[in-house]
Amino acid sequence: MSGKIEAIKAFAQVGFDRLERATKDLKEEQLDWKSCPQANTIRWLLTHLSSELHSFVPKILKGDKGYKPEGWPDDYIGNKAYTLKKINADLDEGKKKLMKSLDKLTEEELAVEMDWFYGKRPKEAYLMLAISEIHHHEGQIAAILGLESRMKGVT
Amino acid sequence: MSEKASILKEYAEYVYERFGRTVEGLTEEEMRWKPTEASNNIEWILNHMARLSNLSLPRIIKGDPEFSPEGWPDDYRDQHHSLSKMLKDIEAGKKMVLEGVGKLTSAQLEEEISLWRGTRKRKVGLFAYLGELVHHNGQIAYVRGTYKRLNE
Repeated sequence: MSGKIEAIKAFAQVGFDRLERATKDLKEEQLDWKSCPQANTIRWLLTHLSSELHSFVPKILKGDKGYKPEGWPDDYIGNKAYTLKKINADLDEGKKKLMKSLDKLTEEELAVEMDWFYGKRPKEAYLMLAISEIHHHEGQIAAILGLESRMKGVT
Repeated sequence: MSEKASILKEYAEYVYERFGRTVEGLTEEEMRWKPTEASNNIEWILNHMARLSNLSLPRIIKGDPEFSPEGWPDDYRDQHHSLSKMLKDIEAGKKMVLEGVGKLTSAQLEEEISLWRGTRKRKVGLFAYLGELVHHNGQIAYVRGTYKRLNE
């Protein structure tokens, strides 16, 4: 494996480890808690992240912006029918898929240009964006959990 | 530049680029807004990010746990700073980080340094703190998203 791919994997692993720590004591009822009606929920963030792992990352790796994984529901993000257990299982599966896909990737593939929402950039740039989403949304989950505990006077 | 250093530098560039997009159009008023009295505002997060960029990351790069840029105030954390000052400070930290990371050799990246009450490889510390910047970037996006929806 090239140093570049090894580093991308290490970055992803750091993100997954942080996410695991942030959500280890998460309870079902916290999934839909909001600080105010306009705020986002942890359910939305986790399902969005899972969707990125199952759908956004493969689009980048395949270089196909229109790719849709077979059987992936259109109403996945924010779906209130999903239990925390299901959401966590989907996230875990998404993580495994990502890590496995990275193992197969070559530096030549990373350098291939994609013309997408940030314009023409190497596939690597879009992949880094997708992986940094783990850290980005983990930060948001930590913010919501911190806010909830402060508002409820738990800490 | 070593291959590993070039990867980390590229990553750091990406992290700061993402940060730039997140704070685009941010105002002083929005920066000081809190979702609740008990919450952190963006001002607090930016202050923290300025310290991560000017203290934490350069300390790991240099392997000097006491490093502080010349003129950096000891009470930076406790002071209120304007938005433009903190963005300028983060920009200065970014330059220091990118330059410093770019000069690291493969051996230096693998070197064990004092970190978190123990020793860790320098590259581990760099990844963790760059990840911390993205983590806080996410928090800014969360607060901005809430603020935007409240004011729509």
